[in-house]
Amino acid sequence: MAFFGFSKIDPSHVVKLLRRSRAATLIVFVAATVVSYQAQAEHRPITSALVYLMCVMLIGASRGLRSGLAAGFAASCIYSIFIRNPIFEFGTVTLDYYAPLFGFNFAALISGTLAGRLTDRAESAEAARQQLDLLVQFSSALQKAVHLEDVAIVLRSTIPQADIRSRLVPYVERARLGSVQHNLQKVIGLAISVPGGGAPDRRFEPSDIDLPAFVDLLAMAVERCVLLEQKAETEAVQRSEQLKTTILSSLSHDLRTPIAAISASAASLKRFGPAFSAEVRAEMLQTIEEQCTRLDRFIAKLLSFGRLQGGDVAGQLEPVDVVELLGKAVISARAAGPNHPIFKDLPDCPVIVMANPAMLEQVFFNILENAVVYTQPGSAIRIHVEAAGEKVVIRIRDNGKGVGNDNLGNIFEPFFRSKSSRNTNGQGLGLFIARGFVEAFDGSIEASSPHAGGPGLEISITLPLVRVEVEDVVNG
Amino acid sequence: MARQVLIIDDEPAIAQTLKPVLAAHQYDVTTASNAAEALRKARQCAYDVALLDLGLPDADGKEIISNLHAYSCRSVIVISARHQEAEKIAALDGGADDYLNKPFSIDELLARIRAALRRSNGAAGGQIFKSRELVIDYVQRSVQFMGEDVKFSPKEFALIEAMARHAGQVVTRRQLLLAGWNDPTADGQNLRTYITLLRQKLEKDPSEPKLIVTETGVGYRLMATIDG
Repeated sequence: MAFFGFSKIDPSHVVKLLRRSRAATLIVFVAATVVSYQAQAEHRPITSALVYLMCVMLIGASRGLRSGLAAGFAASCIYSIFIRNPIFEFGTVTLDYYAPLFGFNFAALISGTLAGRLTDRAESAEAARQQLDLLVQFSSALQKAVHLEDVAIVLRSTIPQADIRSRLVPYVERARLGSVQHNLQKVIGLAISVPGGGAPDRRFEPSDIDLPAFVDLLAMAVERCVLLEQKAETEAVQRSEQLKTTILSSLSHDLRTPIAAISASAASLKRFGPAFSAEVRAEMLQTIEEQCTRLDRFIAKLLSFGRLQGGDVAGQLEPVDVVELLGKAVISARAAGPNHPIFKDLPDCPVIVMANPAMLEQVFFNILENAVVYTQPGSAIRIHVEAAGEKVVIRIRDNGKGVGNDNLGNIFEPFFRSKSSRNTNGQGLGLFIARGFVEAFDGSIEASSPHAGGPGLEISITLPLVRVEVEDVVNG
Repeated sequence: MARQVLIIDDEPAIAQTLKPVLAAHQYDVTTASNAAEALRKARQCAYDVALLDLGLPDADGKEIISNLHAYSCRSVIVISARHQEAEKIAALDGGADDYLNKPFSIDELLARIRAALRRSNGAAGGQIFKSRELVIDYVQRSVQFMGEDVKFSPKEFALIEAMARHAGQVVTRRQLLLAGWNDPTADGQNLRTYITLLRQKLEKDPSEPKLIVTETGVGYRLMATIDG
């Protein structure tokens, strides 16, 4: 009757409990001994033997072969000496006497061996799963790597540096991996040399690492990074070649056009000067002067462009007055486009920013010049300067056709010219230079359409203000 | 007697063009195509104005400014490319009286030569400065603009005086700081504020000054119209 309770207990739970706890094993063994003794006392020898047999099998299955055999041996001794025979009553030694010894130990042997095998299988399956897990994690982390440095970081965060040193390095040194080997060693070197910080989240036993598969993954990632870098390099070279071609064609066009006009005017004056009316002569001389100015401005832009391309942009910055430089640029712009009314809304005190004065003046002039060149004579240009808080915003708005929303982002690109402006005299350098210079002064520049997609273009420049102490001018 | 002008430039086209123009304005023109020749000529004969291109084949133009002054040139006007502010400042600090951006117009050149002559003649050293728009009495410390008295604070007066004594010529920020604060390293921000005040008193549109003109990165120039 007492065993009905056991039928409701899942034997695997008992096995797990015993696997974990020696005390529980001992308790089970003692309990089995007591039950077996009691059964024998009640003259139920079969029950007594079966209880002991079950106990031995349970211990063998849960705690492995060695514990099973120990339990079997102990059980056979106890059973033979204390349970089956009255204490210290040595009967004749028959084959029957050895039956418990064989039976219990044989049961222990079988259950222990089977259980051991199962445990080994489970453990090796678990190890394989962990290895696979590690590889999958490693592989997916490597997917994101674009540079060799990224690969090194992934490697360092997956495997402890000591293991990289002791296992990966010798393996890769021995392996024949062809062209990847060098870069692979470089990556491993990087992963080792980068100090601290990157200890792996999880500790893995060195045996957890499937080295060949691991190195294969690493090699693939390295190869991919190298290819990506090569591709980027090729693209950069192509872009720079394209830029060079554009610069040269723009140069020859923009230099030749004014030179052609100058040379034609000068040659005509030389040959037919006296035959021309005074008006025609004045017009030709005017052309020569204007085209010279145009050439001069273009050369100034080329110098600035070269400065930007060379990376040496601002040099020493100094405090400059935005209002003053804007005023100077306006005077030049009025000379370049006398037919454009320019309206100003400026503060009446200096607005100080850190910049190179000549370059900032050129920024303002380039934007105003564009507004003059790309709009119809008579159309107004508005300038608004607002200094508030930490920055000053300079807005220059024209009333021309605008460039269309699609082109707003492109107008700061070198040699960009919108479709409607292809026939005018610009080179597409002015706004590119403006952006380069403004950024060198820690500022930003933006283009927008003041009438959502409609006509007009507004360029706004934001520059950080310099806080200054001004002496008391009343008493000065 | 005609004024003597020495043109120092290794580009013959410049001398060729300038010679007849300056001759037409009653100047006697001598040319030198390098530093050695310029110094030799300056030693032999006195010149009122030397036009010095900074990019000479045998020397840095800046280095011969003081020699030119020492030998006989009363004024040295430096000719330089527009974007080389640092060069210009170095030349002005090194003794040059003025500068001219390349390419320049003939009117500009003539105005600079006239301003240089006026100053070296001692006309600027008198008691009163008089132009079409401005009358300044250096002794009375009074200023009249377009015939009307204008009140100037002592510092404002010091600044306008420094510019008027070099009327038509560039005055560097350093020179103005010396004039106003007796200290060339004084805070440039104060100078800017005072220039703004002067413009508010003397300009029709202070944001587009016609009289007190900014020489970007270098200093200021008083563009007063002086007759005769």
